[in-house]
Amino acid sequence: MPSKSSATMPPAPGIRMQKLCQAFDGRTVIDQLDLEVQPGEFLVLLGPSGCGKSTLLRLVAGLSEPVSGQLSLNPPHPGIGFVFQEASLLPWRTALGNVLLPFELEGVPVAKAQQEARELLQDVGLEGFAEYYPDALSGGMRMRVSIARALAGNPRLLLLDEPFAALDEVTRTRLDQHLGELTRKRGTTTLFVTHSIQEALALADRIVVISPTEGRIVHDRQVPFDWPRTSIHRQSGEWQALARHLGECLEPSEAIA
Amino acid sequence: MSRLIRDLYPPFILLLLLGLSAEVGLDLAGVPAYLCPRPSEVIRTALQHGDALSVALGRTGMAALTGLLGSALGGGLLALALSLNAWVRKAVYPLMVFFQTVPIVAIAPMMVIWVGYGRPAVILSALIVSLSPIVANSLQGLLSADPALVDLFRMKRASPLSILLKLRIPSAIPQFLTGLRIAAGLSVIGAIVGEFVADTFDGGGGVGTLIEAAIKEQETPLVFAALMGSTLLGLAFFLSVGGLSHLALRHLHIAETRSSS
Repeated sequence: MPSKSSATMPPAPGIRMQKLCQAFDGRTVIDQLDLEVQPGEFLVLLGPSGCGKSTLLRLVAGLSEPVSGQLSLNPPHPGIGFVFQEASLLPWRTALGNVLLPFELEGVPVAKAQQEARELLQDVGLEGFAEYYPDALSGGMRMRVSIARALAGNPRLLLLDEPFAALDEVTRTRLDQHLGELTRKRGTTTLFVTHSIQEALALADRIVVISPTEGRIVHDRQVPFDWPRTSIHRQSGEWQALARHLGECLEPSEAIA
Repeated sequence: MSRLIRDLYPPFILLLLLGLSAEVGLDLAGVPAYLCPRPSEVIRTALQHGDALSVALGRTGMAALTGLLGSALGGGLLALALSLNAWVRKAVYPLMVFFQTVPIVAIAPMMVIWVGYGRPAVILSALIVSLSPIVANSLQGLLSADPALVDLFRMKRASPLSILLKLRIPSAIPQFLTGLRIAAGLSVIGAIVGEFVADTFDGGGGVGTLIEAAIKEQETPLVFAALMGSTLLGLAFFLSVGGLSHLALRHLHIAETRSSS
């Protein structure tokens, strides 16, 4: 397994958001959001569907401009990898061809791109499937290709928008584990969006809960478990208590209702 | 192949039954043969004029194919141009839909004025009727590329040209082929209508010219034989384009889309 030492790579960026607001057609999606993400941190944005989490990722990726407020990356313009809700592969390209796409778009020489793309497929456990077309891969495997594509060119910031929501429980748990390893080995700053409490606990260094009504942070806490997380962690009382508490944060309380 | 046979034999049996009941029923009802010929007579006439019929069908087929290729190329390029600019699209598209509703029979005489009698008018007629389904379907395909992938290309600062070549055009292939399948049947109709209006036997006519002449001579069995031939021609067009598009999509590993129109 080729391991990338983080010493040779540019530093992972920190993110700072101040009074960040986003609205579409007059509807506020993100309201006065203040959030600071540490370099190399694995931050899970937890919240119900439609609470503005995806909007936040798009803002961080520079795919849309905020209505008001500040958003800065430090150092600025890091390489960014984005994993979408669907695998979103090009069906007419093989697994390898799909991982090669970002290299092509950035004009990386073919030989170098080929080698790195093959290494990435190996990193996500698909070394034997380079020449397979997406229609011959399972949902989980397609998502692995999508992750390999996002890791192309060693992005220092990784953004994932509910990437495993459509997968079955077993596949999802396995991919969570694998992703957690990959990001920690590479030392990327990672923003991961999900509405699953168990997934958040399995992955995060820190969990930020966003309210369902107007994208506001209702809870922000460090996760006290070491990496890698095992069934011993999952069965501990602390894990259960944390899960219960996060569940309460997600439910709209009586005070709001 | 066995599936093809299984799918084809129910309509074949029905056709056979309809043919037999027409054969018997027309006689029983006392309908004279010059009003509606018996199926057996139509087939006899078709065999008797086999050479003339197949030459005419070949010419019509060539004109329809040329028109279809023209509209595939022209329609594809037009859709590409429309996909590039929202303002142009909003301006052109409604007008295109409007012109599409003008019946080809009404435009056909104008084509005689524009390009004269003969094959060019026939080809033009085939091209005009088959153009709009190709433009409409291709345009929809070009505009409906996966938004997540568009975002990915944008994040990598890909040029608009590279988005077009690597994403939008390949994404549009299934819809383009759907349009082509619809256009294939229409191109045969367009060619025959063109021949009704704009062709003579001077340069050797097509099946439309043949029908026109047979009607003037009141040779109803020949009219029906020609109709049967043009139906088979249209069917052959539709099936070949369908087969080609099936092969192309399988080669590209793209799931087949079903057309709704």
